[in-house]
This record gives sequence, C-alpha cells and structure tokens, in this order.
Amino acid sequence: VTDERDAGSGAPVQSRQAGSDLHELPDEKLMEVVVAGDTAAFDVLVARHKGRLYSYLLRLVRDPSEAEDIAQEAFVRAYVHADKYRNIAKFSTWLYTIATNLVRNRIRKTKSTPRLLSLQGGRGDDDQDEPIDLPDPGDRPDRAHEKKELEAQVAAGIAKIPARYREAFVLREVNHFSYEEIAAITGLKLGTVRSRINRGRGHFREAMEPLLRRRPARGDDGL
Amino acid sequence: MALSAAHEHDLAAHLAGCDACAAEMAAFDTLSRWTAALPVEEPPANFEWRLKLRLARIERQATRVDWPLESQPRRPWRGAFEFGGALAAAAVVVVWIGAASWRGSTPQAPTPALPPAPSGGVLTQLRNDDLRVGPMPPVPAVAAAESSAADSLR
Repeated sequence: VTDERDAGSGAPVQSRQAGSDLHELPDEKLMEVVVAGDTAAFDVLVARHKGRLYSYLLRLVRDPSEAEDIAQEAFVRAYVHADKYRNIAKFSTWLYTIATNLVRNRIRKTKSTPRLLSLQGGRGDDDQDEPIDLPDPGDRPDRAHEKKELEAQVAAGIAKIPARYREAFVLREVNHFSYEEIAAITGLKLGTVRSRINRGRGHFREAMEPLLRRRPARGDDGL
Repeated sequence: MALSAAHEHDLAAHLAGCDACAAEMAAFDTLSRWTAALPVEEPPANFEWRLKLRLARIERQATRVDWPLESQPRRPWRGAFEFGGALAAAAVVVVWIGAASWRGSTPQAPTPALPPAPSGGVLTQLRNDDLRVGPMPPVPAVAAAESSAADSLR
C-alpha cells in the first residue's frame, strides 16, 4: 500500500491497495483510486452497483439485453470520464445520471421500437390497459412460489406506470434515492420530481388494485 | 420528505377517525413494502467479463492515439531511429530527383568521340563521359595565350 497525498485536500490517497482493502472504501474514495490509475478499484465499483443499476434499467426499458447494453455503456462512460467526477455528489447519483441519459437517448433514437417506451407521452404504453394476470393464492400453497409470483406481479405493475413517471417512481420506491438525488439524476425540479413520484404511485396503485383486493394488507405476504 | 411532528400528529388523528383514508394509507404502505422488497435482478454472468474487455480495448486505443506526449515513456533509441529514418528518406528523395533530372537533360544523340585527353592534372584526366555533360568550350583567356605562344614559336 502506497500512501500518497491528495493535492487538494492533503488527505491520504491509497492508490494501490490490496483487493480486500478496496472493498472497504466508500464509492467516492474508490473513484479517487481509479483516477490515480488503479483499475481494480473500478472492478469493486462495478461489482457493487451492477445489480441495482441493471434492475433499474430493466424496469425502465423492460428488455434484458437492452438493459445490459445500457448498463455496460454507463460503466464505460463512468470509467472514461472518471477524471471529471467531482466528489460533490455521490458516485451512485453520477452513475444513475449517466444511465438515465443513455436511456433517454436510446428512446429518442428508437421511438418506433415497441419495447422502449416514450418518456414524452403520458399514455405511450401499448399495453397500458391490459389487466394483470393474477395468480390465485389458494392454488399455490408453496410460499416461495407465491413470493415469486407476487414479485412478478409487482414488476408487471411497475411496467404499467407511464414511462415519464416510472423513472422517478423506480428511483424512489425501488432504489430508495432521496428526492434531491432524483432531481439531480433526472435533471428535473424538485417539485416536478415530487409530482411525478406521486403520479407514478397513483398509476401503480391502480395497476395493483386487483392484487390489493385479493391480498389485503396483512403483512404476511412474504415480501 | 418526512412530515413535521405537528403534521404527523394531525395525520394520525385524521386516520384514526377516517376509515377511507386509513384504508388508502394501508394500501400505500403495502405497495411500498412490495416494491422495496423486489429482488435485485443480476445481469448475465459474463457482464463483468464483457465490460473488462471493452475497457481494455479502450485503454489500448487511448495508448495508441490519445496518450499525451509528455506521459509517454522515454525510449533512448527513439531519437536516433527517427533521425536515421528521416536521413534515409531525404537520401531517397535526392537520388530520385537527381535521376529524374539526369534523364531529362541527357541528349538523345550519341556524344561525339573526343580526342585523347592531354596529360596533365586530375581534371584533364576526366572525360566528358565521366562528367556526363557535353564538350567544354575553350576558355577564351587560355585560347588566346595558346595562340600567342604558337605565334611566338613560329
């Protein structure tokens, strides 16, 4: 381990660390190590964020291969522009901003592709009014299977939220970003973020209404 | 976006007395719990491997094209090699120009035969063929001197 000093803050920058040490560093510190030339630090960042980023993208574009492509591209750009990252925002906010912009760019380019949904149109989804195919809980005694079914229904419910609201909704309800972070990621004003999340919740509730009626809020639903 | 203590108190009081709002609140709580508990979807197993390949390719390209000169490692033989290359290129250009101008100035008719060169210095031993130019005209001063010398001998 070499102990270098950061030019700005004078704080020690560990530019070459054992893999186990890197895993203990916060994202922002890892980025400093990446900029110092240690690519192993970027591997740790990828391992840390790939799952949640991929999940987020999958809920936006609903195509596994498209979600994977965008996730790859987001990481590549984060790496290439690592020197432009400033430790004034969380790394995750920066990464999700890149990914969200990539999704928007792709949607702009492939507006006619039915699997990608327009962020502009409120009712752009082709399957907006399709009812959710609900499993009958009585037919499925196996709890694990029931849990899987419920997860699938929730994912389908999220997919039914119009794309312009889904982005903010997923960032808040699934990825648990703060309102301020969502504003930074989406480039929207705080009031617009709040409004989109609320509208997203309304659409989600509407989509999940049949399931809510079948599964009253009893807290033992396996989730 | 947490409520203030006063607002939270008011909300609790309202929910305690309003079944519709209490049901709505319970529904949103349930939905929140469901979405929060969604499992993280993992990308395909070769995700990181593919990413590493892409990053390695980018690194290679950056090394080849965008690497700033000041950060390139110094190779001691590089300067000599570059100078030798430039010299060789210049020599090729000079030879090529010389050959081209020679072809352009060579007379098509055969050069007339010259009498044997008189003995003398090095220059007189050179033949016109060797100089690759036509016969030299007599130098006027030398010709006049030769003529006056001949006259004086007579």
